[in-house]
Amino acid sequence: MNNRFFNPIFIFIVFSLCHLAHAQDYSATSDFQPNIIREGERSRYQFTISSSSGNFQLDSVEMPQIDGLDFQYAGNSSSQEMSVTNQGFSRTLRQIYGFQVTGQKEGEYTMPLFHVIIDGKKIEVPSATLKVIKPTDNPTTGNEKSMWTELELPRESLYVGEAVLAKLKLIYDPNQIIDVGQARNPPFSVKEGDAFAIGQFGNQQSQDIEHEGRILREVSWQVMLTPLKTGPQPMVIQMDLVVAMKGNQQQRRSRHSLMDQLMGNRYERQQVTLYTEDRNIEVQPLPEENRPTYFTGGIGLFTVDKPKLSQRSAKAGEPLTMTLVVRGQGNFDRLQAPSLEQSDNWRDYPPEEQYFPADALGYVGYKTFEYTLIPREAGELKTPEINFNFFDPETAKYVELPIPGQLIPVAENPNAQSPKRNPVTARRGPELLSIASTPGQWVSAIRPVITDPIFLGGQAIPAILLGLMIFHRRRELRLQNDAAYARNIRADKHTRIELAAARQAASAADAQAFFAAAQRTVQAAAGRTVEQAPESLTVIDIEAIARRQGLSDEDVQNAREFIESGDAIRFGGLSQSKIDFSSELSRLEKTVNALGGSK
Amino acid sequence: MSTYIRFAILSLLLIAIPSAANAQKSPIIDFDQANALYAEGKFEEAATAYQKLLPEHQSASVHYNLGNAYYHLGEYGPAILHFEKALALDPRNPDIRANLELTQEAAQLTPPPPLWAEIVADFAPVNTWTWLAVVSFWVAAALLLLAPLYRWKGPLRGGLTALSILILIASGIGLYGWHVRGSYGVVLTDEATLSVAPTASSPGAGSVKAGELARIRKQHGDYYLVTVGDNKFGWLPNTVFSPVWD
Repeated sequence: MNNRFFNPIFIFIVFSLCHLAHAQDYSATSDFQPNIIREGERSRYQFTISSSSGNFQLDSVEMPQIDGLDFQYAGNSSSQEMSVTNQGFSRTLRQIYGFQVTGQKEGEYTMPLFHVIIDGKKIEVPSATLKVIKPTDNPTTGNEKSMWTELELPRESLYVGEAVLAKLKLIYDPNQIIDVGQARNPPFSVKEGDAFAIGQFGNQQSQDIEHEGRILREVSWQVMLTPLKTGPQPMVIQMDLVVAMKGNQQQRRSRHSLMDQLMGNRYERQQVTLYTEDRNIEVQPLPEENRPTYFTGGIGLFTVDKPKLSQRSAKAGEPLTMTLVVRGQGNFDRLQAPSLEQSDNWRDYPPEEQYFPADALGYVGYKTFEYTLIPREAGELKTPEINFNFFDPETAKYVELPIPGQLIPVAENPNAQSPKRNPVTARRGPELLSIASTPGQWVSAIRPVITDPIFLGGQAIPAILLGLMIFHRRRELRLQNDAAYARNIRADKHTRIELAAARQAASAADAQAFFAAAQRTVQAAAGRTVEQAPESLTVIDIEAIARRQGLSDEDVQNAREFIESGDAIRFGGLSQSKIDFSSELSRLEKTVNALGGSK
Repeated sequence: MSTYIRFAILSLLLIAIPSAANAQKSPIIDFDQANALYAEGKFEEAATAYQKLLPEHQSASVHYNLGNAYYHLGEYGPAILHFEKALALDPRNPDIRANLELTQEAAQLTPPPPLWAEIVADFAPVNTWTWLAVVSFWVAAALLLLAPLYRWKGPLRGGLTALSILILIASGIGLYGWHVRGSYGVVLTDEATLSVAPTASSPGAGSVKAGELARIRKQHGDYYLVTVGDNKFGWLPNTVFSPVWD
């Protein structure tokens, strides 16, 4: 055993002599791949030496021997990595030394930390563990699950608003499944449960695990969950994958390419959807007991740096900034600015916040709060104390970290006006103001009157009033300024009045009144086109007007007869029995209409 | 017969007159009783008594006192909602404003800075701005349309026209400020979850805190589509969210 182990060591030391260099900075890693095997199966052990300073030479190695494992040197390889930094190019050289390891006996073996000597320097190679399990007694029945997912939470009970770093695991049997890929990007989604906000998946890791006597492959991702509702909340995550499974010859022939067949790739590729176990996660509210008055909302584990002031001295009335840095892990998105102790010496303003995540998920990082402070008076003043606190979900307790103020000299500043006190404190004092003792004015709804249809409809009233006033005033002005228009209006009015009188007289069979009214009606109707007063128009005037207007001979004759009848009955009288009032009224209306009527 | 009629009328009057008087007094009595419960430190009972007055008998005082009761119960969401309602009715009341600020501090909330139009709006209740806008509009319209017809000239007319236009502009700004205010609602509980769709089974789109102001974009059934701050957007059910205006 010893010879088999150390001979290869000697060989690779000889090989490594060809690497001549002056190594300065070294680091080493080691691992078994896979880290679980059955008795008689093989794993690979390798350790890697990295140097950032150039080529190096491995002088000697003190590698321990392990009973139960058989090591065979499998050769070494080297690689280089170039990178560009602010200082220029940098080169990293890696030497990998590999061994084939056969598990001879069941057990958990640890290759302990050992040293290699490079250029006279001792470099530590870290320990690595290999598990050797018994060969299976029972052949695989085929009923075992070959693939499933699990959601691992840090605790059984979570708190609402907490940022929970959960682990989503995909476990599969590498003897049945050759390869796993994403069916969509990202391959994860929440199938059930609206009580959690889910962040990005990241930090993918892969390792072999033992599960019920089988060696399985576990691929895990970290994800940040935030419970949003209290109580037992369902949570199922769906994973859509494409897996390459070992298939039979018939499937291979029918489904895969000629290249696959030639290369002997006996697999079947298919899309699968997996779900995590359907379970309820208990989400608790944050305890009320010992809850700080001004709770920041932070849940996790946080520390605070001593606040930094933008200047070592200040002037009264001139602002300075105080920056607080909160570091740790937890729900930074909900972590609010810590409150400042109220002080009459300072006016403070809400701080500017900025978050700097240190990991891809945003779980670890630091957040800065930059407060603006204005000293209200001169003297040796202490900045306001900061009431920082958070809730630690592991201990289920609130943690208070009051940060004391810092003394700062504040000089007089006659040019600056002293800022007002902080508004709320100045107004309210320490407590809530008392209730109102009188009910005030009752309303049936908090709704502006402008949305009330009655109010909107009521606006038609002033609109109509304004319109009427404008119309009236414009008419009044026209009557004053336009003689023809005024005459026309007057003629219309008088014609209407006299015609009504004539109708009344006709219905009363009063011949004298009828013909007098008829005469005035004809005069009024004809008078609209002349400046002369209508009552002074004679038969000749009316006939001339009628002719000028292009009236028919019959209408001219009628107009003349009404004027003459009016005169005749006025001066000579007329027997009523000879008068047909109905036809006379019709004739009058026709004549008046022909003369322009009453518009 | 007439005796019976007289008796019936008298009986009706005896029943009707005290009933009418009680109908007028009832909200004031209820208000005083709620105040008494509050003074005894029975905040839950006081809140229930104030709630009984709503929605028929609302006033700035009822909402203010109700907000105070909820504050003592540690229910900052409803407390902020009722302080906001009280401010909508009486925006110049310094007590309401001070207690609202105290509650927002206690709830660890930083309210969004008001728009300049909202600052103008705070000078008067919305209905005062409405009446000012209406009156100044018609006065300005009358001055602009009628004064030339009556040949009314001179500095008085010009001054009055300019004044009414200025009042109209100011009240327009005030009304716009109230329009913005009127689009806000308040998150009532810490367990409120923004959903991507207006259904109970919709996945969450983020969380909001009790007392946070959210701007209502639209309503669909029992859900409101809201914007919280600059970057949160989603649906909230009316069980955890309430608009400030009815």
